[in-house]
Amino acid sequence: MEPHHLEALLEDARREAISRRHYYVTTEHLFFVLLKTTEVRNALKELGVSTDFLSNQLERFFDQALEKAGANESEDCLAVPTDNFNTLNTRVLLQALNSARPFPREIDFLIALSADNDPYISALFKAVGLKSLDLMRWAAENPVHNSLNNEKYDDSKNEEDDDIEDDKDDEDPDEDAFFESEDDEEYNENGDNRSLAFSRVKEYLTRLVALAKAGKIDPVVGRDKEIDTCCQALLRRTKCNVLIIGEAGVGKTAIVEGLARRIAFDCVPDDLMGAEIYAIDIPSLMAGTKFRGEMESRLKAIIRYVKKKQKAILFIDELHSAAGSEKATGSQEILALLKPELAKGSLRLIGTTTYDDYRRVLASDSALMRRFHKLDIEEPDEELTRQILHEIAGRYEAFHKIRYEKQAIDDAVRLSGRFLPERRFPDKAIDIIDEAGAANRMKPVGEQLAVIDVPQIEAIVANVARIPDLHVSNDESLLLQNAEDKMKEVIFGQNAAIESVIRLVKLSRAGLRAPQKPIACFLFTGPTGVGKTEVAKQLASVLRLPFVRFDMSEYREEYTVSKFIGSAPGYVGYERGGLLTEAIRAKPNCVLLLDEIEKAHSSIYDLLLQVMDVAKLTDNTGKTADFRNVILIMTSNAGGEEMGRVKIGFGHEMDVTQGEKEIEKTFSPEFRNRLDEIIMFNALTQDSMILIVKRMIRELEGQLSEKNVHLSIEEDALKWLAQKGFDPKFGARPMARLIQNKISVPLSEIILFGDIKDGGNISISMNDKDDDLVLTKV
Amino acid sequence: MPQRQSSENIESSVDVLDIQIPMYHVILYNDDYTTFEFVIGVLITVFRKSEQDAVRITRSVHERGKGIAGTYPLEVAQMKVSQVHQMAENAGFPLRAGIES
Repeated sequence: MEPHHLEALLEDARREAISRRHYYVTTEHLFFVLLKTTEVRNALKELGVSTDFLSNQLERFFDQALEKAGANESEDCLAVPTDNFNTLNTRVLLQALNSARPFPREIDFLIALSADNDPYISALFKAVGLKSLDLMRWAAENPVHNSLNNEKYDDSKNEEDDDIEDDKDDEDPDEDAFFESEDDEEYNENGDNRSLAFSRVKEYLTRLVALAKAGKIDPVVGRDKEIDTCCQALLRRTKCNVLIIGEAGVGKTAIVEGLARRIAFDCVPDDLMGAEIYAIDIPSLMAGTKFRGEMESRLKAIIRYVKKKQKAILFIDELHSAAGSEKATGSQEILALLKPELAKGSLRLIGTTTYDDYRRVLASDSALMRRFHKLDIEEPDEELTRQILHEIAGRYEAFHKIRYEKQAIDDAVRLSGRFLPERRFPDKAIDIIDEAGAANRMKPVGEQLAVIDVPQIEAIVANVARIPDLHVSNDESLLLQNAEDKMKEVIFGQNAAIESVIRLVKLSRAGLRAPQKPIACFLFTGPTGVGKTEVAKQLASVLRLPFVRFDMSEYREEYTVSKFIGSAPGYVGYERGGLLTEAIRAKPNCVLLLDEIEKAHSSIYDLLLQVMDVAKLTDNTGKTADFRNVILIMTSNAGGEEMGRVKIGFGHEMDVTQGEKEIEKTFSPEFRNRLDEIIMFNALTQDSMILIVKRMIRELEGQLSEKNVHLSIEEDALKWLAQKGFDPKFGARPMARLIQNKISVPLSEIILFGDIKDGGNISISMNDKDDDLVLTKV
Repeated sequence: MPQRQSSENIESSVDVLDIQIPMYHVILYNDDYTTFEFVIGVLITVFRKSEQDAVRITRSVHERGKGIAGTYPLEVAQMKVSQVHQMAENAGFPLRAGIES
């Protein structure tokens, strides 16, 4: 006996006691239910003992000897197992263990009963002349077979499973009648307790046509052709199974629901009229199965049930999950259990899956897959999605208690199409209107709207796609207005560059840019240390955008490209994904800075070509990163050296043309072609140096603000610094070094060891000899 | 001892005569420490007696040294006995029950 049979046996004894409203469940109850098992019946028949007599006597016992509870007493106080009952069962189990068999048989229980001391039980045995020895001998002569399908069955009591013609239940739509006809014999050839599994069958199945009739299924729009194909496949004589394949969110389950609706409203051919679609809920099927084989018996019960109903169709959503995995043990493959039925053609099954999962899990089993008619579901276009949304908007309106403007729905479709490229219609559009309704309800009651219009939809899309509001809000335009000035306050001598950048950003924000490109692509060139990286940083800060920086000197080698977009499958780090694609996916709206681009390997340039053209980058797993809201800035020192050289004879003008030639040499034409602008940064002039010095002093002061120290610098000291630290070839970096040496170092001495602990003013001025700075406390 | 009234016949036509069901009395014994109230409680809870019957039986225990609490088949009788002993132990009384045929 399998363990769940054992459990079932004891459970039945208990149920017997409960149904008779006995306070206790005794060994007599166990005897009674044993007399119904096939094994015991066979044994007694062979031994010439009347099962009926024993049953009748036991019934009499139940009636006369045991107290019955009143109708008002709860079930909890019924069927308490007596000590004798427990002892007997323990004895049987131990006996089985000792004989190295995993579980006892029904006959073992009978043997134990025959040896029990209870006077009544022994009286019964004696009355029919049954001795323990006889039973033990029978058990030895009739060993149990080691398979689930025990061949020993009782002819007189069992129906053939497959004889559907004999079954009078065919036309009977009432499901309870089905159960009643099975109640008479509770154990089939396996010793399964059929009624146990059967009574639970309904828990695992959902009847879709019944739901459709109750109006609980949304109408399905625009999938008539697909539903027709589905119907047709189901009407076939053999291989009447359908596998619906499509991307996530395109409406695969909707096809089945549409079919259910059609059947509910009788818009189907005769053969499908009155059919029922049973959706199997796999998690609940597997829940609570403690023993191996319990899930199989549940599934078998379901299959029996469905087959008896002539016009039943099974539906399994996410069919690949029923196929198990390499790790799953054999007992967990639901699909494998269904295979024989599918092969015979006795079962009609509809399954859904996605392309990926199909390829990964199902395609390898071609023998199975050939029994399915494959139905491809395409993503609906915008027009069809609009129709779908208008059709089902009513349901969402009723649920959220609002109304959707027609324009709002159309915009939901349009905007989700534009800004949510990773997801599919109609799922993403439906999501937007649902989300809008929910967002409305989140607001305090006073602020809730009665009608959802375009602005709300835009806000939702912006939120979901993580980009700034789609119509430039007041805050944003304010930021842009001041951006230019703010940047000029901090970066000196590069006004032309700043203006170019801001110009293009404004263009993009106004919506006048080609939609399939990044916001802007710049190449900053010029001598070193003039503020190229700084401009990018300040741009991000002023526009309140995240700042993503990659230093291209790390990407000199060819293999480092895989750092950007992720390694190929099979290589280390495949799961981690690419740095660039992940960064953009996390922050789709940012300033992306690629520093020192000329140091990168040429493969990187090839990647960037794509980015600048169509604003898409595909990573190693095939997913795309969307660059449409990225400001791409690349910096380069190419030509910087040349530009640092002052042209002979023309004063301080820079050698621009030479620099340009250098740039042309470094970057290929197709690369340069895709840039919006190549911005040349000027070398720093003396005037800008003065401003830079002032700024650096200010920053220094900022660092000291906690200590309440103020710095002031004299005019001549300023000029001296500007002059000393200026080198057109090296930009502003020598200045930083100079200030550190001449000011920060002495300052640190004063702060640490001087008497400035409570704050004070320090003045920076020239010393007497005019060749160095001196710091004095004021 | 229980008496069998049916024949030893192993043919299936034995249904003419029924097998007698042996029943046993559960007896409660008197002692000097268990209280009246407790015994009444036991009779009501374990043996489902009415209050009137419970009082009657308890008086019998008290006056005659023992009283019949109920009559059951052996298995059930044994359960009742252990239930009485359990209850008594929990309450701290040395009440004893026994089985007599």
